[in-house]
Formats: sequence, C-alpha cells, structure tokens
Amino acid sequence: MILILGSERDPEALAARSFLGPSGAMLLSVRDLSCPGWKLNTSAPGQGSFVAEGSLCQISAISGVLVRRFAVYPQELSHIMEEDREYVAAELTALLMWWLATLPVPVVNGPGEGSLCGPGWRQEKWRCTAAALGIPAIERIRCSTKLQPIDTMHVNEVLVLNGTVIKYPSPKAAESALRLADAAGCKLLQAAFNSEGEFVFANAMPAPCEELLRPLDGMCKGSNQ
Amino acid sequence: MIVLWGIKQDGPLKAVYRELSDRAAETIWLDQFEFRQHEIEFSETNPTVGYLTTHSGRIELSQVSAFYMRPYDSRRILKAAKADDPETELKLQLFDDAVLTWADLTPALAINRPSAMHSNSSKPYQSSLIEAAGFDTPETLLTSDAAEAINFLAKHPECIYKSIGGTRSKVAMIDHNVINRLKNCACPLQMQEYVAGTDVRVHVILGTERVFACSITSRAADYRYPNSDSESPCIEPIDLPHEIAHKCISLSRELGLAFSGIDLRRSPTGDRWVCFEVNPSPGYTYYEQSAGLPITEALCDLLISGNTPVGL
Repeated sequence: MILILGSERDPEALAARSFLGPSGAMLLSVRDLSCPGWKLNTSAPGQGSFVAEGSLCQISAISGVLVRRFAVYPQELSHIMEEDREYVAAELTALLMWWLATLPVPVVNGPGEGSLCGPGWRQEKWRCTAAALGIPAIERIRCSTKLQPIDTMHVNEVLVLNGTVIKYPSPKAAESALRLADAAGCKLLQAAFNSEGEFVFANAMPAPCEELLRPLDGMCKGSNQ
Repeated sequence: MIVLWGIKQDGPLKAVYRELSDRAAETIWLDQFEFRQHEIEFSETNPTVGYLTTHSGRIELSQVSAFYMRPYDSRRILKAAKADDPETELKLQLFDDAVLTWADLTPALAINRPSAMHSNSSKPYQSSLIEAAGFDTPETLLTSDAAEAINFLAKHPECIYKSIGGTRSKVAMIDHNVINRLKNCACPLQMQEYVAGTDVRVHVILGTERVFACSITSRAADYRYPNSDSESPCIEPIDLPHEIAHKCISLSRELGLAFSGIDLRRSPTGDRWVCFEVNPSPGYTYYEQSAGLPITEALCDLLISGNTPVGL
C-alpha cells in the first residue's frame, strides 16, 4: 500500500489516492496524527502502527510513501485548541521528519533541509547549484527590499523519478535535470527550462500525474518483493 | 572582513566581538536593532557579487570572509523596538530571509549555514543522524497509545518525556498521570529511557579540530532548570577519551556544523556514552565562564582564518 501524506483538501493527493485505488493507497491527514494508535520505536522504524483515514494500520503494510506536504501548519489544526496549534504543528512536523527519513521503503520525496518533501531548497539555491554544476541558469539578483517575482517564463519541464526521466523535452534538459536531482538527493524532481535552454526553477513536489504514478506504483511494488 | 549578525546583548556575540577587536580583526556587527539601515543584494548564481548595507555603510560581499550569526526572532525585535507595524515587519522579514539565503550560498565561512541547522528541529531525526555517526542514543518511543506507553514504562521504570520538535522544553520524569493524558493527546508523546550518569557538554570547532568538554553535575533531571540551590549545576572542565572526542568531531562534520554544542551523558561506570542532542547555535559562554574553557579564542581563530572546514 502506498501511503499518501497530504491534506484532505489537496486535490492532487485525492486524485493520486483515487488513481491508485482503495487497496493500493491510503491518505494520511493531520487528523490521523492526533488519533490514538501511533506506536513508533526509533530503534525499529519498520515496525509498529500508525493511523490513516481514521483506521489503525501496521507500518509493515506500507510499500512506499508519496509526500504531498512540506510541513504541518497551525492553520490546518482546527481540531486543536488555538493556543496550542503552533506548538502541535511543530511537534507533528518533527515526528514526520524522523518517520519519513527512516521508513525502510521508498519515500518520494524524503525530507530534507527543513522540509518534509525534498531538500527544502529555495529557488536561489537551485539556481546557484545549477550554475556550480555548469548548467546555464537564468541570472537573478536577490534584493532584500523587494518581494521575489514568481517565475513564469519556463516552457520546458522535465520530470525525474528515481534516476529516470519521465518527461523529456530535450536531451540536454533531461541530462541537466538528472544532475540537479542527483546533487539535491531528490528521487522526484520537476525542473523547468526557458526557450534558451536556461534552468529557471525546480519543484520537489510536482503534481502526481498518471505518468508519475504508474512508475511510482511499480517502484514501490518492486521494493516489497 | 568578519560579519556578526544578532543583537548586542547576546553573550556569545559579545564575547566574539571583544576577542576580534582585541586582535584587531576587521569586524562589522550587523545589530538587528539597526534594521532600518539594513539591506542586502546579491547575484544568485554568484553570491560574492553584491553588497550589504549596515548602519556604518556599504560592504562589498566579496570582502566578507566569515559570517557568524545568532539572529533573534524578528517578531521579538520589532516588539522590543515598538515597531511592529505591517510594513516594517515585512521589511525585516525580507531582510532576514535574504540574509539566510545568502548565508547558505556564500563561499565565505558561515557559522553555521542555515541549511545545516535543520536537524535540530526534530529530535528523533537528529538522533538517527547521531546514531549513524556511531554514538549510542537512548531508546525512544513515540506513541499516542496508552498501553504501549505503559509497556515502555515497564521496560524502563525510569523514563523521561520531552518535546519532539526544536522547541526548548524541560525534560521531566514520566509517570502514569502523564500516560493517562494520552487518551486526549493532540500528538504522540516522545518517551525516552532515563540514562543515569554525568552530563557532559562538548563544544566542537572544526577546521582547527578543537574539542572542549566539561562535566555538569546536578541533582535535577534537567540541569538547565534547577528547582533549588541544591540542584544548581557544578560545571568543570574534563578531558574526553580520544575515541569520544573523535566521534564528536565526526558528528559535527556529518551534520555540516563548523561549530556545535553536543550533549552527552557518561554512565556511572564510564563505559557508556550516550548522545542526546547537537545544538547548531550553542550559547556556549555559560560553559566557557563556568569551566574556564577558551572556546571564544578558538572560535575566533576559525573566524579570522575564514576557511570553511573540509567537508562542509
């Protein structure tokens, strides 16, 4: 079973749940994190129990995890007293950070620098890393007196899953995206390039389209054999 | 040039500034209370190109060789400065965000890079990295199941609980009253076997590979929160066994921390060393003053060298 860590209000998470089918996936929401039944021993992260969709489940039943959140946010915790929400959100994020990092199954994407999904890099770091790798990247000046503009000028997107390129606009872009994913330690990465072939931005939590879910399902089944 | 970032009341920054001044090292203190003058601008793909504006003028970022940061929460700064209007708040947030971004990208020595600090936001996650570096860690259970908590307590009759995240919390002994509250808990509880012994605080400075250790003896379960004078900690310098000192250096390097504060406990027989936590921004002056350890001097050696330690 693939566990989708996301929100009941995330249409992409719900679509992925629906595509993988009721026996193929379960959604773990923030409410589940506040239910009794969680048993996690840090010396045996593959054992114990958790709660998803309100039901008690065994960790051994998980074949893989699709992460659809960067953190647990206080605003999501409507079932918690308002004054406690900030603290509880930090606690739940910390719990998930450890759990996702140590589960002995594929986690797409695993947690990184302050993020539950992927390395948590700012776009500046992606572009700086690209430049350091010799990948042409758009030139941007970061200024503390202005809000950062949103990057919309990309035309080509590459999707990488587990060292394989799924979407393939050009061999050069594909190779660059693979190198970026490798440098960031990312299993799943969407990298966008402009018409000049320059790297524009990266996204470690792309929408789980059918092209992605089929190989992900296969990858998780493979890990269970 | 060395840049310090934080407030003038901060103990470690004050100690470092004094030492750098005594050694005539070119130093700028980016005082957070002077935020109205502060600006930074840099090239994302070449972060040595750009400038930093402080209360005393403009600095080319290419001139910055080292950056030591202990920033306070900007909301607290604004509140203290009675300037918490939305426009000022946004200006300060944008500045903090830009500086933290730059600190992660600059080739200058940064103590410590923001990206290296994240492990401290999850204690069990950091423990998994501590174990990978070869240290023993306490057996830990994260649970919202009362029966499981009771089983754990039966296995470890002396047990503590503490926050899972980075929020500083008082470590306390657990009892059945705490377990009873699990029925209505908002999140799983972190329980840990109590490890008897003497607390040892280690400060590691990479590059020069300096290790400073002191023992802390106290009757309190958490020496940082003594309940009475009789629980006040006694802090003394000690020499670490070579193997433990080496593990501390390796751990700091694995976590990407040029400077770290590591919390250990030595069992009464001395054969078990347990590591609890690594602080990526240690408030070290408390230990330096109590134990007479020259941590500031060693930290300034690294800052003056401007060399990012190998492997970071």
